Amino acid sequence: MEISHANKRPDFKRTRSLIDRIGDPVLKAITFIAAALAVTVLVLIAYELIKGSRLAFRHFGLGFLTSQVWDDIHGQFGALSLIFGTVVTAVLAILIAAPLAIAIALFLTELAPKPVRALLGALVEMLASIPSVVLGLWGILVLGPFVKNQLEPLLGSALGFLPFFRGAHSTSGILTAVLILTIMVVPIIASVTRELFTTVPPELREGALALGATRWEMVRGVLLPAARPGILAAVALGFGRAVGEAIAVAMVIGGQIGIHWSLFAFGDTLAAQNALQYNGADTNLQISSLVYLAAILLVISLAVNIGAQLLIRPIDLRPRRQRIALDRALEAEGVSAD
Amino acid sequence: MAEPVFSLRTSGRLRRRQMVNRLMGALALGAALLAVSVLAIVVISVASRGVSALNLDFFTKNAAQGFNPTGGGIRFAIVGTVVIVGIATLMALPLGVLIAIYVSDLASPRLARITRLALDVTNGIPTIVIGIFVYTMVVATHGQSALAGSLALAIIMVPLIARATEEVLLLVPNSQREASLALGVSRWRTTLSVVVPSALGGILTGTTLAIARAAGETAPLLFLTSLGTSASADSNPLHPLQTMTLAIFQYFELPGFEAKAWAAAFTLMCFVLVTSLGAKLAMARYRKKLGG
Amino acid sequence: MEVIKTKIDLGRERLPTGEQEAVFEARDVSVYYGDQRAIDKVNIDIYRRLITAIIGPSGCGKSTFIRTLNRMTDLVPSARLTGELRYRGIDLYGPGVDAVEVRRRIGMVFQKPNPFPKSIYDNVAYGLRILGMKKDLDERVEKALHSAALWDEVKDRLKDSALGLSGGQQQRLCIARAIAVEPEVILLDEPASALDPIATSAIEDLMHDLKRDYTIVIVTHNMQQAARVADMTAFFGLNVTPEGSREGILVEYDKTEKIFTNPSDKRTEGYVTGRFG
Repeated sequence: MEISHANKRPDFKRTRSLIDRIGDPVLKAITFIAAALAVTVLVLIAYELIKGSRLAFRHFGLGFLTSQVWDDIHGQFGALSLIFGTVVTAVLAILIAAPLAIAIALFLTELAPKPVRALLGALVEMLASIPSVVLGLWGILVLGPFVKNQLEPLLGSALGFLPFFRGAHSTSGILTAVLILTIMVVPIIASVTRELFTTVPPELREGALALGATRWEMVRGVLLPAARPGILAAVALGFGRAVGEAIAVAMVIGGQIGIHWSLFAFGDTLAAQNALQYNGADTNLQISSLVYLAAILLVISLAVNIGAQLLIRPIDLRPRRQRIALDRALEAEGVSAD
Repeated sequence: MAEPVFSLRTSGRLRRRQMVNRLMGALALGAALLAVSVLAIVVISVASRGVSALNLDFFTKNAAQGFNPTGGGIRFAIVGTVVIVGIATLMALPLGVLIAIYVSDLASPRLARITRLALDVTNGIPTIVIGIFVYTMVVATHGQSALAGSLALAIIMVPLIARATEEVLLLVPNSQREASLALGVSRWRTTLSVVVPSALGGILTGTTLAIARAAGETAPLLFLTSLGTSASADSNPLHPLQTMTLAIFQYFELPGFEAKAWAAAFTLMCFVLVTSLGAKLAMARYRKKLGG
Repeated sequence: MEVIKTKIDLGRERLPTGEQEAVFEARDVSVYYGDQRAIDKVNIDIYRRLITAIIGPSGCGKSTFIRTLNRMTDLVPSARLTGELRYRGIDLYGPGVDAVEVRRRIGMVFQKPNPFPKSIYDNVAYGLRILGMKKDLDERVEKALHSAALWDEVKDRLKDSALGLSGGQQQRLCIARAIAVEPEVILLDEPASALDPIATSAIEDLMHDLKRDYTIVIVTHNMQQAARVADMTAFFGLNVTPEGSREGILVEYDKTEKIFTNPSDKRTEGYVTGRFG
């Protein structure tokens, strides 16, 4: 059959305006540049910190990591006691916060009556949004006296035979810093863990309960194992947060160089030292040493965060699952059913 | 009727198991109560100390000079916070939304994953490190300014806005995109006229959360604006302006300034808690609307 | 305006009765998703101002095929088409052909009603505004709503959200939205599968009215629907390759009456008499 298309041949090329046609590549280019900028900033941060710490690195090398001195008068700087303080405060805070946060998440997803779940969850998350400077102020002026007059005497008399609970009591110090960090970290771990628990399919829970398991047995046997990598990642994120907190810790830790085994003693962390030396640094070497500290902090936080992301990726599919990409939806439709 | 040969009541081993169950339940309840009480204690103790120092002067006057420097208000810090956070938002909002559009609608899966990872990792960098980065890059050569502070806050806000926006963009059903494309509307117009407007509520709440977070940040601003130098009492972003957080940080160790520190802390806390709670509630409602 | 002229052209030149003009001519059209073939060598002519129904069992590629007609398949990066698909003489997949322009002329309505979360008015006006057909916007919107048999139901609440309409009304709104931009062809991908019987019959009545001005292709899994509305019916079947993958093939294409009363292929007969599928 031959058909004539004489005067009404559709022309698919010409009717769209230039703007309409170049819009696609332009939008893609602009958004790509924005995304590339986000990646670039990350690289730039690493680059600037390496550049800024070069002077200190040349002076102290890796010995910076193993020296405890921080002497601005003689220009001798080392990070060991700060690394020690950072690790001790963050680890202790995590040890207290992780079980608490997991328990809270369990309560919010499994036990709390439905109507109060959202409210309780919001309240716990509010704890995370208190500005750290406010928490620091509260920590030194309200929590501090409690630590000095009640908590430390109590710990000292009960556990004073251990070296960790000896020494003069004071409002500021490692113990107060640990408590403040715990308060900051609990809501972070709790909210991620809570998300994880809600993604565990109900069939798994019901399966366990139908076998005659108690609720706790279901939690221990089904829920916690299913969410384990995610919980680890949440704890890692919390650890990263505790390591990096500068202001609140700076306000309550007492700011003293040196390695002390007692929780009652003053201490210092990488982040807090940076915050406290803000206007004290007057030599290039000291500034460079502070940048060196920041570089160490960056390495720790990168390791922790990338590790956590790798752990969390295969688990955290939920938002993605709800909205299978257009491609895949169409593809599935075309291939399997229509 | 014959006696039943079994019982459905609890007995023996099961009773022990149920006691463990109840104990664990009680511990979980205790943990939740502890967290909520800590929140209550913090809020009440900050409020009780802060309210008494609040008056109109506190908001409308700048710091007093001369013999009684503890007098006056923190107007300059409020202005500084608004300027610094405002400029940071102007930088971060478009960037964050563009990145989200790229990741959700335009990027190949691989580039999307790389971008997401970069955002999440940036989000995990200690904020003081970002402060030091901006210090070495900008302040070391150009001196302190509110603008430097805005830059640091923008770096913190971009991942927050981008991730929140991406999440709501992905909630916009693909059938909406298809409807527009099938009308012969180009992809970019579809994105800008269907996808982004549908997600607008989510973008706004995500941005509000980022603003609340930025307004409460101290560490990244330490070396960038006002601290260590005399703060400007104007609103020129090229000057080192003061912020609420920096004011609290400075006041807390100065004798006589404690009341002002508490009042500023209370004001800041109220702002941050109310906005972030409101934004979270709005986000939850919005998510339900789009997802359901 | 070019768009309007096209419309008038369409009105004027009807071919003499008895001889239908083929709008789409598919020659050996196969579609692949990655390595997997979804439909294999489809040859079909789709005629102007007729309703052509595509029926067949699940997975036979009928949705895939209708999506090739306005290049919606382009949105799947892994999708690939071989063979030739001509629309009024032009190779739809030929060089220089703009998929966006194709979709402007060949509208589509989907399985699930997908109105925008905007007002009823803005839903219809959306395409008009974006495509620059802003003159007489109100009249165009009203006309489209009239054509979609929806005007009387919504004329007093044009500013209300489209999401407040019933499913059937939403689907007719989607049809109004599609015809507002004055396409030449309307593709309907199972438009009534999510609707109740009353809404379904409203849509079917509407199709009869639209036939006067538009070429209509409808995918449906409902054979009665095809029998009721279609002039021509294409039956797609499933072919299982020796390797075990399933692909769609066009089994038979003829006048609807013939397909349902006297099909020439055993497979068609089996399907329409309900013996399989």
